[in-house]
Amino acid sequence: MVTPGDCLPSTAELLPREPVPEFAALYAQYFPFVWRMARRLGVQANALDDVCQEVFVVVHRRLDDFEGRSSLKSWIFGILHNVVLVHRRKLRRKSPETLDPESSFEPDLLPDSGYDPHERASWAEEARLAQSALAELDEDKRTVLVLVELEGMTAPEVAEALGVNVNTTSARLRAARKQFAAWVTRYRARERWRTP
Amino acid sequence: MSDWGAEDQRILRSLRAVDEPTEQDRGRVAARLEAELSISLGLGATLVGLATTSTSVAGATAANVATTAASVASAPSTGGTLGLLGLAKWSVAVVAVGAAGWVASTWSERSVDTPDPSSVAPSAPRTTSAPPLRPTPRDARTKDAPPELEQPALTPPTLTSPAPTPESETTASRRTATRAPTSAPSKTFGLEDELALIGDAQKALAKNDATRALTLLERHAHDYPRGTLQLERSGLLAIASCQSGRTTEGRARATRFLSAHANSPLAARIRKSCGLAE
Repeated sequence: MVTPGDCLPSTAELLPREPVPEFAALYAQYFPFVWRMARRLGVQANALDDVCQEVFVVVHRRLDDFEGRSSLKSWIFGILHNVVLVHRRKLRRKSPETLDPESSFEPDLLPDSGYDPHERASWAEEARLAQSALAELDEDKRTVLVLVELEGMTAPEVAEALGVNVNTTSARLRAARKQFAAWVTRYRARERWRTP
Repeated sequence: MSDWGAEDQRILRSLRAVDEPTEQDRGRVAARLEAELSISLGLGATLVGLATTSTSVAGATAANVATTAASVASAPSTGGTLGLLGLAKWSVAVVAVGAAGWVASTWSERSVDTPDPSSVAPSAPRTTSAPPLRPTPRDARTKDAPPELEQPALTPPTLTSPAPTPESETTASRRTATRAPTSAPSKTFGLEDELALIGDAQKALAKNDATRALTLLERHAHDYPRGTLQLERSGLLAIASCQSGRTTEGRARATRFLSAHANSPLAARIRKSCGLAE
């Protein structure tokens, strides 16, 4: 079995060392990332504040331990991932029915500025489509796809964050893209059938 | 079989804007972190520093400052360190917008309209009982591998999470961002004062000076009956009452608090202070 440690040193070598910013600057820089990814990991709106707060509490406590051997972003995402898992476990104990990552998309959250109605409708439709397609993926694939495509992380960074082999990450990414594309194709086909 | 193409990528990337936090989201969590960690993220100090002048910042100017600062604050995270300057600018933006009634209406609404969160709100992620999760083997991880949660280390916040935010409330807050300014409460910029009072009360409790803690908490209740930190106040009041020997009153407060906020990070401390069972 390949342990995370097997891939981390080589991964770390690929990453340029980045200076560790002060916590305040780090919060300013990474809060949006943490917020977005918490949402995308299925954290419901009513728990987002708590989850994000917890992530930065841990970051604050552990910042001195960070030696720049991985990217800050992947390090922070690793913390977020663990916080979300703990959060889910708590939710599951409390009420299993609230654990529905597929329901995490909220049309109300769509920003409504800067688009004319038609453009907005089209964009919102695509966002819903994307959300539905993502929901079809298992979480491992979804997470990799989102981190790479929406957050611009590299496969080694994602591997680092999730503690998995880079090859595994790349395989998940390929599978996720394929599945996502297949879902979109099926959706388009159904739409054409409904509206000849 | 479908292959990944430009259309797929465009569709997926349509989600980029969906999950973006608002400035209110950022400010709210920042305020909570400042309270919990006893640090300054620039928000509190800036609020205090500008509170006296903010009323002279009129709508258009405020909007300009907000826009400028927001663009700084929303710079791509891969674009380098934002730095304290960016944070400071963002803080100015929050205050400036606040002067136009934006933050004011949101924060006051959060306090005033907060429904009982116990029925819908999951709790803070920190927990005192869950064992550390090990989703992947990490025995061989490097020091910089994402640290796992060590639950005991997560429990001692001096000032813990405010109310879990009910879904409807969060949505309402977001909607408020586009709402026309309503009346701005005079205490809008009192967050720093709130933090100071609650923080001092917390310190007093840590020194077993429950009487002083009660005084500070009652002052907070008087000055900020609908304050941002009212939940913290309620929980600490229960603890302080029990610690000061006002056991009956303290237990009543504790029971009320726990019935509404059973999963609050303060819950364990309250139970312990008031001798209540899990």
